[in-house]
Amino acid sequence: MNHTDPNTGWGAMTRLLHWLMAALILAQFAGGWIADQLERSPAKADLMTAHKSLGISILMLLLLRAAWRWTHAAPPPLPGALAWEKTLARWSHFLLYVLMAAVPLSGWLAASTSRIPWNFFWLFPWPRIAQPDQDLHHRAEDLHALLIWILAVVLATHILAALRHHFVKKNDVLRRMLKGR
Amino acid sequence: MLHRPATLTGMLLLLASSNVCTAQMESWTSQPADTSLEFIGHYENTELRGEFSDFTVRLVREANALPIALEVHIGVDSADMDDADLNEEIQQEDWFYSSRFPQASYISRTIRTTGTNRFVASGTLSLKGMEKEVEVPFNWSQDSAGAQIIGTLELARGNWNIGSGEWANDETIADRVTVHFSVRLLRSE
Repeated sequence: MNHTDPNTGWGAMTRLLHWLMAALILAQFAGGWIADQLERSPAKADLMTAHKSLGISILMLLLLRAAWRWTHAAPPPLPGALAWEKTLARWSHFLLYVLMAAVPLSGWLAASTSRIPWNFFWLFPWPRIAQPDQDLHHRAEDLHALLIWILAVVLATHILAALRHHFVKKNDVLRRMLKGR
Repeated sequence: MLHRPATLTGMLLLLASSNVCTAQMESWTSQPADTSLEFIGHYENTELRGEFSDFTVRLVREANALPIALEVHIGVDSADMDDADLNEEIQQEDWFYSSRFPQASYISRTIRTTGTNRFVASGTLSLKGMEKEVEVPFNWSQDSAGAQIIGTLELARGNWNIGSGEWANDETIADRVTVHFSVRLLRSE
């Protein structure tokens, strides 16, 4: 029998940020992949502006989330959690935080090193973190692509693990990120 | 019937061979140093600049007096926007289509004076297979070594189908393109 101690769930803010960022990240995977298939066109330019704007938004949300995580204790592992599960969870979550920062940062670097400017949600020009440079631009694009693959692998593990906890082990790991308590 | 020769050389030969007493003609030709021909596009309210490196300018004027003819020839595939992606894009069919239209030209036989050393040339800009009348204002300044003509004008790229198809609307990339030139001229004959 599994039950959740009322004091060991995730708070509302944590859950909101988790699912909001999950949705945005999945949208970014889709949007980025589609943009890559398109020929240069006004539609592609618009899609790229949306992609870059969302990427920066994710970076901002990540700052908020990191600050929140730092100041609000995580619930303890559930009873019955095995040592390897706890270790893998700790490392993969840490890796996710690193990737959630590195992926948009590499994208920002790639955008900065292209001569083409862009406006944040079509409103105002977004600043560069580097000067236009063809060579650096290509390397930043390659880095962005590599990091996305790594993120995809870690995310797949994360999602499969959550589903395993829910359907195989039948515990509250997924439930407490969905409902909290 | 007197017909206007197509080339500057033809015009000079005609004038030289005519029996009418004409003022001495001077022919001035552009030099690569201190010379630039740039275009400025407007993408989402920011400027994207490019310049041509392959072009020649010839100006004919009456001796120590007024310019009477201006001719510019441009190798369109020399356009450089300092970005590999942009440079590749602008040579495509929707833009300059340089594989089919490698040369652009501006020919003017009518130049009026608008001030001291300030002129406006009226002529034809041939670009991407289209010919349209364009006025080109310029200042003339002369020193012991040569002369410099400087001018700025705005063109509607749509008139020459530059940026056609999906790019034809004014939203992403503005229809107006600013052209700026500063050309060093030396007298050639």
